Amino acid sequence: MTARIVKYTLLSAAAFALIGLPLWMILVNAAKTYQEAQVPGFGLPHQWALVSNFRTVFTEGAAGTGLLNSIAVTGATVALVLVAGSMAAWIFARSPSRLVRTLFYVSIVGILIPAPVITSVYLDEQLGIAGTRMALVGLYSGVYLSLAIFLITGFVRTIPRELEEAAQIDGASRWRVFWRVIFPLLSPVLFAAGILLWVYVWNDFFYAFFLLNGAGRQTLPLGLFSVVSSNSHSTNWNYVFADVIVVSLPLVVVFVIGQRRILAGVMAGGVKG
Amino acid sequence: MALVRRTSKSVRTARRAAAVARPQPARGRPRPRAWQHRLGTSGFLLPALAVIAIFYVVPNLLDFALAFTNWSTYSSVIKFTGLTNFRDLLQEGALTNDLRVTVEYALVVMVAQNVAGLVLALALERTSRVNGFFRSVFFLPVLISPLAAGYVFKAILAVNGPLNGLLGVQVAWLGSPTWTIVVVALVNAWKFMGINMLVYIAGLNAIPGELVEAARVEGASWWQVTRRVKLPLLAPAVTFNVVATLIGAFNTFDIVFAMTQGGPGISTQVLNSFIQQQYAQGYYGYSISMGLLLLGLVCVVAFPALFALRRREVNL
Repeated sequence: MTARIVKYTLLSAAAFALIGLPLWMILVNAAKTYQEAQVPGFGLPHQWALVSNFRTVFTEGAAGTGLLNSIAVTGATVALVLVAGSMAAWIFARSPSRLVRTLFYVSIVGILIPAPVITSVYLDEQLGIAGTRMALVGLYSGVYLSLAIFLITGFVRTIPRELEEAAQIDGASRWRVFWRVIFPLLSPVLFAAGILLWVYVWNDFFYAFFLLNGAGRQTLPLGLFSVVSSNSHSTNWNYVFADVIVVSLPLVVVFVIGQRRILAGVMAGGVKG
Repeated sequence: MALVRRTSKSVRTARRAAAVARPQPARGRPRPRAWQHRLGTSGFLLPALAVIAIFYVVPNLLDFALAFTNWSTYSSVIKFTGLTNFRDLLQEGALTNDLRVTVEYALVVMVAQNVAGLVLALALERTSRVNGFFRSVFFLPVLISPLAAGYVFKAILAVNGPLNGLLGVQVAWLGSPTWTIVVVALVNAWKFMGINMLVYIAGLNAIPGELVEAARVEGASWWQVTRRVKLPLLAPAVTFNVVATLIGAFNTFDIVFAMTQGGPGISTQVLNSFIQQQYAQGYYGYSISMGLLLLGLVCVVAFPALFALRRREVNL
């Protein structure tokens, strides 16, 4: 009993110091005025400016554009990766061919080795899509298909073949077998892979920083960077923290709603990985 | 020519016939004709393989070509320059410094993130309402963009910032040529420890309960059960987490960029910081040559891991 009390006291203290304080830092400083946020701290604001900070971030900082672009880029990537990944994974899991097996290993190398960024820019220039959101979706998909294919292939192997065979005997084409029988059964692994992909892509700054051109195409992390660098003399910390909330809140809200399923899904993915 | 083609075709047909004639293993399911089957196979593989080939394989291959060129904004033609880029990397000291900084960073991240993840996993191993709450709390930083996390900690760690205020000291956390790299690495570990925690919890939950029970019945203490039973059986999760954190940390950029931009001096300049700086200055080929070194560094860790992965894959 004492051991339990000690354990949960320590956990609470760690949660407070490691998670609580940084979150508190974000919230209170997003609510301060420019002058008061010059030196960001844990103290409550003397003058509340939360709403006006958010308004500024959306009107001058283009957080609205960033939100739309992030949703478009992340949504397109996750949809493409999950659909194309499941189709390939079905073959990878079922085919006994050596060639297919080799292709499988080539496909999953991206789990370990990331895409090189500068030559991706070069490639996009040659393809005539440099700086576009499409180029970014292409890069994310090229890398993250590896993870999706790996997870989904592992899952397909647990699905009994009899299900497909029954449909085949009834005369269904492979296309129909896949969409009507296999794809619906994949929902647990698609959910887990989709969550992981969504988090990675939504939060990525590095690749977007190199591959996207123009304010109109900015995703949320790029928007955050422009808020930080907008004032050359000193950082407008109040807007920075307000923008940190804009970048993070969509994921946090979704997580709080579905936390149990999300954690279980990520854990299942982790075991397979 | 025609004869050859006919021969090979008939060989193929014969082979196909043989394949059809071969008794089907197990439940003799009806098979569509082979060409139809093969067409279907490539149709299902094509979208994924095309995207991977164009946007992943091609840039990686281009790395090997363009790293040996003078490609930059300052010359109109791209010329092969041999090992010049690599000689410059070595002579300017970027190679040794950035490689050392990156490896140091990755080692600190690897140790800190795995120790934190493992301790949390051992504490929150059992599924209960209160543990679920704590798991969610410690997972939260995973959801925050690394760039945002970097800015938040830059503010917290400022000399006149709240951490020093709380501790009543005046430490320049981000101003030390020796220790700042460790501080930034710890922020990285903070950001991602939730993932490691979940992988370890999954690993712990996969340990058969009877083993732990048997050890307890024999009178083993909590520490003995952990040390002698759980940790050895956790080996696959440890391997996975160590490799994943190392590779992730080799490729770090966002957190360093937000917190120090490589400073003070070049003491926190990781490989990707250098790549970004050279690219921004227009030295594309030079930048790519450092990218090739990063690829090499990742491969040193990744290939042994890939073989381990392959072994487990076969076991599935």
